[in-house]
Amino acid sequence: MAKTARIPRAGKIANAPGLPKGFKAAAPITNPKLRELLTGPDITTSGGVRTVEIKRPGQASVQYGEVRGEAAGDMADEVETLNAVSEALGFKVKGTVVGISMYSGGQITDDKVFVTAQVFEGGSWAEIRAAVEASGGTLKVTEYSKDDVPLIDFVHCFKRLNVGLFGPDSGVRQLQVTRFVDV
Amino acid sequence: MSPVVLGLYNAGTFDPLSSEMIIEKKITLILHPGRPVEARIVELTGQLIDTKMADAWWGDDSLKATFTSSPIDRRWNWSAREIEYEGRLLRSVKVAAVTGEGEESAVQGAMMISTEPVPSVLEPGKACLFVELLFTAPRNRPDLRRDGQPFVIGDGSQLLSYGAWLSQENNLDGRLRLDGSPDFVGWYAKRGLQKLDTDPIVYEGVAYTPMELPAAAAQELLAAWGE
Repeated sequence: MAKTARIPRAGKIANAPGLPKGFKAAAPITNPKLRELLTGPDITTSGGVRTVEIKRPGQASVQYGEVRGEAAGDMADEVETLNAVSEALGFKVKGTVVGISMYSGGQITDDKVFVTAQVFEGGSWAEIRAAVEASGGTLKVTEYSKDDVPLIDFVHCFKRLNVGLFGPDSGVRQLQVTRFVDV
Repeated sequence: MSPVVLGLYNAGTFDPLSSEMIIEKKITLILHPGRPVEARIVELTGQLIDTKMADAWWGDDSLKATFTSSPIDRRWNWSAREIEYEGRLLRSVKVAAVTGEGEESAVQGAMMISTEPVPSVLEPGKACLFVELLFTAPRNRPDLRRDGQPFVIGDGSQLLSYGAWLSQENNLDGRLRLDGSPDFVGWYAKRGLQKLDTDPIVYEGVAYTPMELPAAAAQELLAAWGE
């Protein structure tokens, strides 16, 4: 019996060897400037988000983060995070935490730290202010709201807090805390 | 298909595009670690957002089960995003860098760009297009991937170059303005954008740096792009 050549089915584009499904090889890039632009680190616009470590003198680094999904475990992480942050700031947290995010901001200079805290009514806003001001920071408060998140206080601090939390080696330049309490 | 045509910009007035039709462009992206692959820039339609972003972006098998920190775009609804400029909404279009065909197609990156000129800060009397939401797909972000490696590279540069090209096609000499996200100010600077001497834009707790791509730098970017 004669061998039958294997013919690709019509409409199917064969992948180049080693290319994952859905990709088709292109001609090599000959323009060196374009190649440089395309092959360097790409923009990810993940807000400068990277692993955040909170370091306090005499203690091991503690790493925090947000857990994807709606698992109940998310809450524990966030409560733990906010509690640690607030403890370092010198105040106790009241209420229930449902979200926390941290960012490092590359454009923030070494002598400035950007802190935001979003606090529901009934929170220890005054305590945050007192802690920040006691550490030599300055605060700016802005009314802030989102469609389904009636945030009340939005705190900006533009000076490094001398609480062992935002040391120059910590990698933390910007911190956002979202705290919810019963309303 | 004719180019998108902007209305004339006169000092203090903003005439929107007479047409918001997006011109498809063939581009090349890099599949890590260095294989050129075919791609194209197309209009980012509602259907593409629904089928190739959202769940397709954030449910990709390559991503970690949990993230150390929540990416700023994690819960953004691309269909609902608009450009707010000095207290008003700018007319805009969304474009995407897409690889593959049909069911195997994938949005590798996306961008929103105004279809109304805004004033240039660096070159008074001139105008720019305003870029927002220049994002690569989560699967292309090493810090979000299980393997910690890049995947498709270059869509940010290609989309930004497309924006400059769109600006040039509409007699704005390639000028662009945008608010650079933290840690990517240097990335933009490498592509010719300059920081503006204005206050950062704070949104959802993130401070963005106002930047502009002047005409001369745009020409260099476009020369590299082959235009």
